[in-house]
Amino acid sequence: MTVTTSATEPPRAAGIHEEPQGPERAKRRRLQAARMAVPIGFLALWLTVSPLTELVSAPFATIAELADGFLSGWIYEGLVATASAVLMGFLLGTAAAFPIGYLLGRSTGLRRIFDPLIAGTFAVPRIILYPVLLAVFGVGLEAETGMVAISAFFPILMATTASVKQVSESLLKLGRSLRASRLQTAAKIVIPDAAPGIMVGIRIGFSISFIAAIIAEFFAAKDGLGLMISEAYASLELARMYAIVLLILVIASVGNLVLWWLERRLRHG
Amino acid sequence: MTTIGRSRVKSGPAWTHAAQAGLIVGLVALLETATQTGLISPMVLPPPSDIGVRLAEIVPTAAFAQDLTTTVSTVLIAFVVGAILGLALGIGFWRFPFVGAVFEPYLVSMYSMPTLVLYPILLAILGVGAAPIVVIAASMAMIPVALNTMVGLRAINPSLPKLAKSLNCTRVQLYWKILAPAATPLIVPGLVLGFIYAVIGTIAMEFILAPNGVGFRIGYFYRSFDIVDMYAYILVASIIAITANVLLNRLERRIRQDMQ
Amino acid sequence: MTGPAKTLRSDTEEPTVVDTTAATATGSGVVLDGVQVVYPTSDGSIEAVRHASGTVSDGRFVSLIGPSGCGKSTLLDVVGGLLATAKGSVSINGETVRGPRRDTAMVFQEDSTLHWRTVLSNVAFGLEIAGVSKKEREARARDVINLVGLAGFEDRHPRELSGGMKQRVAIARALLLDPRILLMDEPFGALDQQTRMFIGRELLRVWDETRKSVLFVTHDIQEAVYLSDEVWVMSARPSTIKSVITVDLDRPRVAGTMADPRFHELTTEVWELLRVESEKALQYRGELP
Repeated sequence: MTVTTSATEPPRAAGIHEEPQGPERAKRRRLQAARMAVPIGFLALWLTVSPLTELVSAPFATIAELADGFLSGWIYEGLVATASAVLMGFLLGTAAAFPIGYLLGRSTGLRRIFDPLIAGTFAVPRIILYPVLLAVFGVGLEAETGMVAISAFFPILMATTASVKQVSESLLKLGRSLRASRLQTAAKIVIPDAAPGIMVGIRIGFSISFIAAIIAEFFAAKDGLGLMISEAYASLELARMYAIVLLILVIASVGNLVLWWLERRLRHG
Repeated sequence: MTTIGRSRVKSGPAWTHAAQAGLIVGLVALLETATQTGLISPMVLPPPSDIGVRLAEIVPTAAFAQDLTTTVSTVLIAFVVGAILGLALGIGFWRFPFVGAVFEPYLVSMYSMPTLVLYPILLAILGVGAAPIVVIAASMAMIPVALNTMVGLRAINPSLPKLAKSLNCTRVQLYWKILAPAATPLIVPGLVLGFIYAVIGTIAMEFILAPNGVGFRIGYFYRSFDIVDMYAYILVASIIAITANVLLNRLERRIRQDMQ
Repeated sequence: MTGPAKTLRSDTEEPTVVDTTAATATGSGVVLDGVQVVYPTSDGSIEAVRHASGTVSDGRFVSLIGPSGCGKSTLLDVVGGLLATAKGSVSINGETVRGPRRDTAMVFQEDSTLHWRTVLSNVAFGLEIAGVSKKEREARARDVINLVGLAGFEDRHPRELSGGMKQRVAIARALLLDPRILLMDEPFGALDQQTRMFIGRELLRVWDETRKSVLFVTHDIQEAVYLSDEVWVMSARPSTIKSVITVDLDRPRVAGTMADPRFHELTTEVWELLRVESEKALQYRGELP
C-alpha cells in the first residue's frame, strides 16, 4: 500500500528552527491553546454523559480505580504480562522486518516479486491468525508474542522497503564512486538516509501491535490487560474496565509520542 | 568488479508472475508434504488439500451464505457511514482551516492508534451485536477519508477557484465542476483506504465481539476444535480482504489514469 | 594539498580494480578510445554514446558540452568507472578504467551531501570510506574547507546551507581525495545564474592552486568557454565528440574576460556547432518538426 502516504505523514515542522514573529506567533499560540482544549472538551463531555447512564463510568471514579490498581497492586500482573509480550514480540517483529525490508528496498527484482504479495495481504486483519498461533503454541505468552510480532512486522517491513527504495540515486552514486563496500553503503548512506521513514513504520507498528496484544488477550490468554478487560466486563465492574482502557490509551499515546519525538530528531538532526 | 553500474536488464511482468505463482504453489506443496508425512500435527495444521475440500463443502451451505451476507453488509454499512462522515469532516476542516489545524494531529494519531482499542467501551454501551462493530469499522474508515479529502482540497491550485470566479460559476458549479474533480486524485485513495479499514475493522471485531459473520466463525471453530473448518474460514476471510484490496487498487489506478 | 594520496594508495588499494596489465594506451592523462555505451531498455537497447575519442592531458580543464539528453553525463560516468563500455576503453595514465578509482573523484549535479552529517564530516566522508583515521581525515578536511571558502561552517548541517554552499561541500569532498582528475557533472546546474558565475570563478581559483585535470559537463556555453582550456562539443544521440575547440584566452580568467571579443568569437563558434546538434536532438524527441 503506497497510497496516501502524504496524508498519513504527521505534519512536519518547518525545516529551519525559527521562532515565528509577531502575528504569526500569536496565531501559533492560539492554535496550540485550541489543540490543548480538545482533550479538556473531551473530559467535559465525559463528565456530562457519565451521570446520565450507568454504562459510562465517571471520570474520577475511573481514575481512582486506576490509581487503586497501582496502589493495591492488582494491575501489575496483567500489565507485566502484556508489556512483556509486546516488548518481545515487537523486538522479534522488528528484527525480522528490518533486514527483509532492506533487501526488498535495495533489489528491484525481489520487490517485483514480493511487493504485490505483501501489499495484497494489507487488508487481511492479522488477528485472524491468532487461532493458528494458539494451535501451535497453546494459550500463553508465546502465542501472544507471536501475534505482536506478526502485527508489528508488516508496517515496519513496508516502511523500511519504501524508505530504502527512496534513498536518493545521487547518494548511491557517490557511494559507488568512493568505492564504498556493501556494509559501508548500508551503514553510512542507506540506513541513515532512510532512518526517519523507518521510524514512521516503527511508530505505527508499535501502536498496532500493542492493540493486537490486547485484542488477542481478550480472545484467549492466561494473563494480561486484555484478559482483565474481559473479566471486568463479565463481572460488570465497569469502573475497572474503563480504568484499564484508559491505561492502555495512555501507554499507547506516550509510546507514540516518544517514537514521534525520536522520528523528528532523526529527520532534523 | 566486472559489471559496474546498474545496467540491469529489466524483466517483464510475465517472469514475476511465474515467480509469484511458483512461490505460492511451492509453499502449499511444502505444507501438504509436511502435514501428510506427520511432520506437522493435524491439530496444528491439517493438510491444505483437506482444507480446500472442506472449503468447497462449506461454500454452498446456507449458514455460509448467512455469515458472508452479515460480514459483507456490515462492511458496506460501515464504509458508507464512515465515508459520508469522513467527506463531511474533510470538507469542513478545509472550509474552516483553523478547526482543521486544531483536529489534524488527533486525526493523524488515530491512524496509528486505531479506534479498535475502544471496543470494550462500545461493548459496554452498545452491547454484543452489530452496533459496536459498525461503529468501530466506520470510525476506522472515516479517518483516511477525512484526511485525504482535506489534503486533496488544500492541494488544489489556487488559480482554479479564481478561474471559477472569473467565469461567474455558481457555488454548486464550483464544487461539482471544479473542486471535486481537482481533489479526486487524492480523495479516491482515501476512499479506497477507508474501505480497506472497514474490512479490517469488521473482520477483526467479528472475531472477538460478534455472534455471527465470517470473523466470528474463525473463533467459533477454534473453540469447538474444528481445526479444518477454522482454517477454511481463515481462508475465506483472507480471500474477501485480498479481493477487495486488489480490486479497489485496480479501480483507483484506473481513476487516477483517467484523471490525468 | 600535497602528499595525502600516497598514504591512501598504499593503505587500501584493491588490486582487482586497477589492472596494470591492461596498460595499452600510452601517455599521461585521460584517454578515451572509441567509447561506445549501450543502455538496455524494456524494448531493446539505446546506444547512448558511439565512438567517442579524446584526451584530457594532465592539468587541463576540459568542458563537455552538448544538446540536452545527449550522452554527456553517461560519458562522465564511464570515465568515473560507474558505467561499463560496450566497445572501446577509457584509460587513465595508461591504466584501463575498470571501476571507480582512487585517482578520480566525482561531483554530481544533484545535492549529494549527507543531510545527517555536518559540513566537516561530509567533506571527510570520502576519506572515511577509504579507512583514514578520524583525526587525520578531519585535520585534512579543515584545510580543504578553507580552500573552498567554507571556513566557519564546519559544524553546520546541509539544511542550513544554500545550494551553492552544498556544491562547495561536494567539491571539497572530491578535492580531499586528492584525485588526479576531477569529474564534474553539471555541478552548478541547479544554481541560479549569479551564484553560478560566482562559484565558477571560485572553482577556477581553487583549480589554479591545485592544478587537477578537470572534465566538466555543462550545457552552458559561456560557462564552458570561461572555465576551460578545451571545449568538447558532443553530437546528438548516439553521441560522439564532434569537435574540440581550444580556448586560447589568457589565464587567470577575470570578470573582464567575458568582455573580450575573443570570448565572444569562441562562444559563437561553440553555439554554431551546438545549434545543429540541438535541432537534431529536438527533432528526434519530436519537439521540432
